[in-house]
Amino acid sequence: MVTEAQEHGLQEKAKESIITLNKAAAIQIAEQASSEMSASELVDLIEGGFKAGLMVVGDRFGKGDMFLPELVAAAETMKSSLAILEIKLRESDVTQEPLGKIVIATVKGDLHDIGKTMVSSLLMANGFEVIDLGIDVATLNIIETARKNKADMICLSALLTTTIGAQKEVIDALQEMGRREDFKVMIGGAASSKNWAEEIGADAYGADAQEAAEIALDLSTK
Amino acid sequence: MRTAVPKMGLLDTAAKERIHEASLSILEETGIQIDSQKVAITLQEHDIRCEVTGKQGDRTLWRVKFDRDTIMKSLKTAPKTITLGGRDTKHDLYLDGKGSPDSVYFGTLGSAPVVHDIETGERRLGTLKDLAQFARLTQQLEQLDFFHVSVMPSDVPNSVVELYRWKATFENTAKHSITAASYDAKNLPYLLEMAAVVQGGEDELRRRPIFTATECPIAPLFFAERSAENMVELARAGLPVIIYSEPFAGASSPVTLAGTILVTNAEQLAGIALTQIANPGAPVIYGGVSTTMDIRTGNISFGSPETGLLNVATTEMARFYEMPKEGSGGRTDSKLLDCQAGFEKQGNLLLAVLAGANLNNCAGTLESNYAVSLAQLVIDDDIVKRTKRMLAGIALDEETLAVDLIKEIGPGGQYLGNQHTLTHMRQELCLSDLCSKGTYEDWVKKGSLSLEQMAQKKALELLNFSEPASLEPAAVKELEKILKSAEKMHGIG
Repeated sequence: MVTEAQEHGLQEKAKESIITLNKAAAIQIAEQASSEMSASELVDLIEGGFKAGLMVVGDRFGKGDMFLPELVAAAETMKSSLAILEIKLRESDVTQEPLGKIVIATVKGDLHDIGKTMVSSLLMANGFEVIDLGIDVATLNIIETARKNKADMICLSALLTTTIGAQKEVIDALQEMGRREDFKVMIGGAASSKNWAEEIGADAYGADAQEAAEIALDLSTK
Repeated sequence: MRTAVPKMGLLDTAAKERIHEASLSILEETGIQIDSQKVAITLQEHDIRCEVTGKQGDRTLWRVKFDRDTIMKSLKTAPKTITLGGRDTKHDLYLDGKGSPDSVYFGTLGSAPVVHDIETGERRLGTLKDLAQFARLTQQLEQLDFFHVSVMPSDVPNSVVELYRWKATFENTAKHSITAASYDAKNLPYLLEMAAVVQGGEDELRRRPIFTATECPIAPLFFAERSAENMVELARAGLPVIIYSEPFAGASSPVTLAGTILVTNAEQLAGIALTQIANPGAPVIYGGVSTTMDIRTGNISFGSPETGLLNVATTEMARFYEMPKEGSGGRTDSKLLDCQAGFEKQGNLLLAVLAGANLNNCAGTLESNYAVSLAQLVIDDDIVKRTKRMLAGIALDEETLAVDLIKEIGPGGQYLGNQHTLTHMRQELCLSDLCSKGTYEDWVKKGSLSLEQMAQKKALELLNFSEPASLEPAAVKELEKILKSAEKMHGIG
């Protein structure tokens, strides 16, 4: 347990470590908090500190004051501190309430990583918990991960016109399993489009990372 | 006659050697990743170090390390001059690795999913009909030497889309064509069959290949299964491949231009080695089309000034190895036919050709290559015309200096009707077919047309009123038969 002033001080430091992209400081704060704070205080530290910091970065990125590489670095910094805090949180019965859980992947047959990483970072910056499955991810793997983690949304990236078919495959498979209503599905990537999203029955199409985050926020409140 | 030709260079010999040595050390210590078992086995048969480093889904990842000797041997066997065929010899291209000014060619670019419709102005998905129109217009535009297949049609079956693209291309232009050979290794033999029909047999196809395949590594340093296998197959068939390295600075290569040149060059050397191990002497083209990321949006930025500089430096590296080079010429990130499109395209194209890149792809594109426009294609033809004129430089001899004439006419005279003017004006002065040059009143009298309107008019005239370079009906029938049998293999139709 810590005093309220100490708790507030650490939250500010955590926020600052994300805004200044100081990974070493973020990790050190997470380690200190893990040994000194109760589980519910840790949740407050995540919300009021690390995530609040990432939201500032996301906001500055939106205004053009910070750039994409900085946003990605901030998300990475937050991820490494959360990894430390989650070890302790898992031992307790305190649960975090993210804005929503999102599973994101580049679809089967497509090996392009960068666009998806951008979306992933910006979703995190907007308060979502993001499970990033990487590239060339098989349809069933995506669905299984979303199901197991009780995700709210699935985001599917495809850069190539030859691989956007796999976006449809995920939606068709959800349909067949009778699970289409369990998840919102958003698609993106150079080869996909608003028309394609409508054609395959996706809930949304995000033209770029910024738009994807805005749509995710919009969908999560519906 | 002496000609003062403009030239451009950024790297001195020491810089080129440094990039070369650093590339060798990357290939020797870090290596490249491939995920083709088939190619890994071929490489192992030639004593190249290949190790399995893991799995990603059902793909096995191999790390391939090339030693210095392998790379140096590959650079020796890779041809320094390459002939690319048109349907007829009039359209043949002669690529010279030393970069002589008459070995600089211009063409389209694309594989764009989106088309700006020339008649309705609508921005919509491209179709096979669009592709045919781009091929036909490229055939008519005099400044363009090759057709980089412009459109990715949305209205044909995905599993054979490449064969539909090649068929429409071969049928509508006699110019040399370039694009990805196949997206599915199973389709490659059908393409080879089609190309042999167009050129009148396999031998002639090898002698004057009607197409060049672009095979893209995924930066940094990764050759995906299909690319690696296509490169090996095409090399074995003796057909040309462009190693199409497209790292973008800050995302898939270091944000520094020097680091991006290095990633590009290392990928080139690895790709060249793959083809030369498969078949020593197989035609391979250095394809540095590196660019930058827009750090505010994450989009690729083809119109950035750095893209122009990268084009110069990668061309210099190709020259260092005396290899023919494809570069990205003049591209734009603009969404319409505007001033941004004009200055981005002209600026970067000029840099590319001053460095002497052999194949400059650019014409017709907008939106960072996401879209193509027939009107932009006509404008780009005009940009190429200006650029060719700049590249031709200044002819310098007694006749062009005109000392005697200047003395004869003297102060206060004029040259307007002089025989010297009549003799030289046509080759000395480049005339634009589109740009507004007369007085304001002239322009109003002719309808007050914008550049875009002029370009639309010219594009439609060329498409509607000129004789298309159609393939003969017997060959078209053959191509149809080949496409049908490919569809049958895929269980379509």
